[in-house]
Amino acid sequence: METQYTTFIERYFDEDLTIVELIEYQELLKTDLDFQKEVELFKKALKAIRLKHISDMKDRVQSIRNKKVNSSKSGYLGWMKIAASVMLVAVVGLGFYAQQYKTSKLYQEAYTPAGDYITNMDADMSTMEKAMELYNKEDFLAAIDAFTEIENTNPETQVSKFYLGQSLIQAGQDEQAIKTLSEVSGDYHPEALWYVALTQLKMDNEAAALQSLEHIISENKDEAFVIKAERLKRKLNSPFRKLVF
Amino acid sequence: MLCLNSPKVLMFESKKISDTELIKMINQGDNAMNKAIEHILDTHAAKIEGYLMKQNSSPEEAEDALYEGIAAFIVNAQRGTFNGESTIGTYLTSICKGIWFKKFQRMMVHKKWEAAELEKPQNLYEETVITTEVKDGLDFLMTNLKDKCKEVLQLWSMSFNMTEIAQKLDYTSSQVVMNKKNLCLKELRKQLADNPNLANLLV
Repeated sequence: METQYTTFIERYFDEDLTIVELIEYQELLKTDLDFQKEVELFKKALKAIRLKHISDMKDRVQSIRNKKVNSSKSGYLGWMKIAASVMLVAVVGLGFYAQQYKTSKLYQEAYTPAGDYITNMDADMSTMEKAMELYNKEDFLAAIDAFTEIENTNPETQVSKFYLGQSLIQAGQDEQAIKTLSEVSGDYHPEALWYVALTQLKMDNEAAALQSLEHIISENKDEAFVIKAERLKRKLNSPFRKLVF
Repeated sequence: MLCLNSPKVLMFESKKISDTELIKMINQGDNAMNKAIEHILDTHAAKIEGYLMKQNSSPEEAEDALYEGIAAFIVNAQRGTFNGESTIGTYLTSICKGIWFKKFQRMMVHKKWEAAELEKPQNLYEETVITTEVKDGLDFLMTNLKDKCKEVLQLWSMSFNMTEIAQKLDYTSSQVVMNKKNLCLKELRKQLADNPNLANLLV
């Protein structure tokens, strides 16, 4: 395993070579086959160590998530038992249900901000990526300006329209957000419509929200949002809810 | 897995932790690191998996790419190569989509995802992705290495110098660490030389 080169290569990987030695290293790499082979082995060893580190970390991430999911499940079962007890005193618990089915509560449960999937890590970001970075850094007013600018120059760009709507929601400009998101077409249309429904719910306009949900369901363009819409519609039309409101 | 996305779980989502704080927690290791991972999963997992599935990924592929992406991000944070120029969300999404594409070689079906972006060398993750074959191969290669050996090599691979490694692992001197590292590395090179098939997996 040990050759005349081993210590020399070890020192290279420890960044311990002088400039003269570095030149010698480069020269050997070009001319000496045995040297090349040994360097290659060092590189592969380093790679194996790095990959093993990532692989172990991946297992760790997975196990943390599995634990969390299991505890959520057992937590859920626990809640089911409690709920069964609560059912015995259902009349007294009516207030509890009223809370659960309040429009604001349903909105809070259903709403999660749209994420950023466009930006890259390079210095030469496009106008869109710069706008996305503002959105992602939660500078929503600046993001509104940036997306509006893109919207003005390229009104057919649906991505910017969608994220303009998201920024308006985050900035609390709900009516403008509904207007903007309602105009989104293409790939983003079902998701935009979902946020229209949620914003209508937030504004306590339940009838309009139900209409938007119905629209998502009947268009049936994106299964994920159809499922979400059906779930929220069920909650809004729940008999418990109708009993209380 | 999917129940993490449910509103019930989101209701109990932990309080927001800043990106800077998360990096600190990762570098503290142990429980603090686990909490950071948990927070990252709570905050980003559903979005990233949802996005990959929109690109025709199966749930299993999306889950796999997510775990590998978070692992790569954590290692980058430990090595100090995550400099906070972008948010963790952006950085992580970039890694996960790159890994998913590299690993599953899917055709890009969405206009948002430009081919050029994936071709740019970004050094955010290793060239080799962790397939079952690679994972098993790595486990085999490391079989003969003791835990202390693996720890020294791991820190060395993250560019810590001998003095720093000595401090982290309670060795008496940097020379002791240097000897240990060289010995462990020699053993690993021997394993690679004896198992060319496994070595060839590490392209």
